[in-house]
Amino acid sequence: MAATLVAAQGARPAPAWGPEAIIPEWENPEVSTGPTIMAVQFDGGVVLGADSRTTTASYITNRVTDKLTPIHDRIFCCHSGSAADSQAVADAVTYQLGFHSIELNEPPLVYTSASLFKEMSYRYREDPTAGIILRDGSSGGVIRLAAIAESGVERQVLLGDQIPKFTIATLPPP
Amino acid sequence: MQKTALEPQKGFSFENCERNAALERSLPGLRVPHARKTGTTIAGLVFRDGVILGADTRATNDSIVAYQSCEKIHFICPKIYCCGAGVAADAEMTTRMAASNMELHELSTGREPRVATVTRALRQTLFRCWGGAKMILGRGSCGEGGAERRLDRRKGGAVRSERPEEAGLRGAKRVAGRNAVGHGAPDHGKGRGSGAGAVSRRGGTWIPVRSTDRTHSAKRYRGYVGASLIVGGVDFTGPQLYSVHPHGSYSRLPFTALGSGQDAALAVLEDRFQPNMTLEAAQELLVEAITAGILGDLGSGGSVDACVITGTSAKLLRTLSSPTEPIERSRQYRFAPGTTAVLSETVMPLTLELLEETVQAMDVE
Repeated sequence: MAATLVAAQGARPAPAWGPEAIIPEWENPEVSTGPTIMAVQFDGGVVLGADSRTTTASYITNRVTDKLTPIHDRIFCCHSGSAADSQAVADAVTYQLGFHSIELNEPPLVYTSASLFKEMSYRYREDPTAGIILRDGSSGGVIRLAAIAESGVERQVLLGDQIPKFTIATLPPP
Repeated sequence: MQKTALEPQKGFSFENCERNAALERSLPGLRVPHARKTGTTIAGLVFRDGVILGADTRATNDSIVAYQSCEKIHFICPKIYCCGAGVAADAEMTTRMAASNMELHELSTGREPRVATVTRALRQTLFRCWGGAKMILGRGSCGEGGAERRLDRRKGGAVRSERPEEAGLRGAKRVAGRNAVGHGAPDHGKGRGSGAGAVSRRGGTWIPVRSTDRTHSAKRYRGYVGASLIVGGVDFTGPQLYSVHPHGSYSRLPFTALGSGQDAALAVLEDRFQPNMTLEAAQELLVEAITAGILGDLGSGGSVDACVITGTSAKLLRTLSSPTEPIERSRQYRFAPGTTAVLSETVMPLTLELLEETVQAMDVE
């Protein structure tokens, strides 16, 4: 939050007090996931994919992040934006969904989990820390996949050498 | 009973900041004192039998070394330790609170605490302090527990909606916005005109109501708790290492480093880390990583402290290695009594008058 406020006001000399002064510069900006995340539905399930880079400004704090977290046995969510906020929201929804599932004594609907996320985002929409989706950050690292089918969840990691590479030279001419 | 003259206000006092800002405005060219940042190198790695954490020992005051032998590896549980970087006081206090809470948790559950529990407790505290206080986690989670009032901006403060199932919860207090910490008695029950009016002056904002007291920490500290922590330990699920950032995000990693010397330390760790190392190899690698931070970063220095945590025990190794020789002082700074001559001596007795004496019996039942 401090970082986005500073960015909005433009470059300034180092402040004498406040969060920017107490916290060293390298820890000032929010840790962001600057992600590439996607999900595709197939016949029989859904496969989710994400990169694995977490950054603080231009420093990579974690190059092997797992941005796909389970919020229930067969429901996953992908993280994006501020790492702290997305982890906090995911924790809260995991708790609520688990409670709800135990109350109903049956597995929860994916729609229910989406509703819970929506409720939470909407409720705190005016809270700048909650609403921040930092567009900065970059993607990189390894590819993490989660294929969710009725039989179960299959996790996979594609390391650097297994990631397909494209160069201008290998693309077919238009 | 004796009462203090002034009830101490909880939380941080920002009076001096406002004074400094006013001084800067009225006296151009004035340089106000800066907040003190400390430099640190902390690191941790998981090896075959457990976790090893390391830290440097320098505490700085701007560019002066305040303390050459500061302890940066904090105890949380018998087999869980935590290294702290960032604002030293914040790291110290956050970890102490976590240690107390974990002990209570251990007594209440009857189980050895888990590293993941410690990590979650720490990051929830940090997240709450960084202004994410409106998001409640755990028992008081949004949707369950804690009444919520939403004051509509356009209507000028009338209570719009109240969740009926939560209205009856005990102890629901209303926190009256950021600028009025000591506004008055908490408003139980439905919103009244005066309370609503007070908020509408500020344009009407969300005022979540919570039944826990921890909400007050956000209003008190305004989110300025900056501690980066490396939590490492062994529990029944095995050895684990987590890094927790000041905003409350965490990462589980096999090796990590934080602080101003993290680049230097991580360079060494990235190069030579192997999974399942022996204790000797892991200790040597960690000492090299911290030493790289000590030698390559101006904010870190002193010697290397380490903490080895295995499934059976934890050993804190203070001053495991000193990469630099301490400077030989050319003179002594201790002077024998009588070095300075006393010219004259005057004794003035301070007469005190006993005004009031009260005795309060202590109930020891």
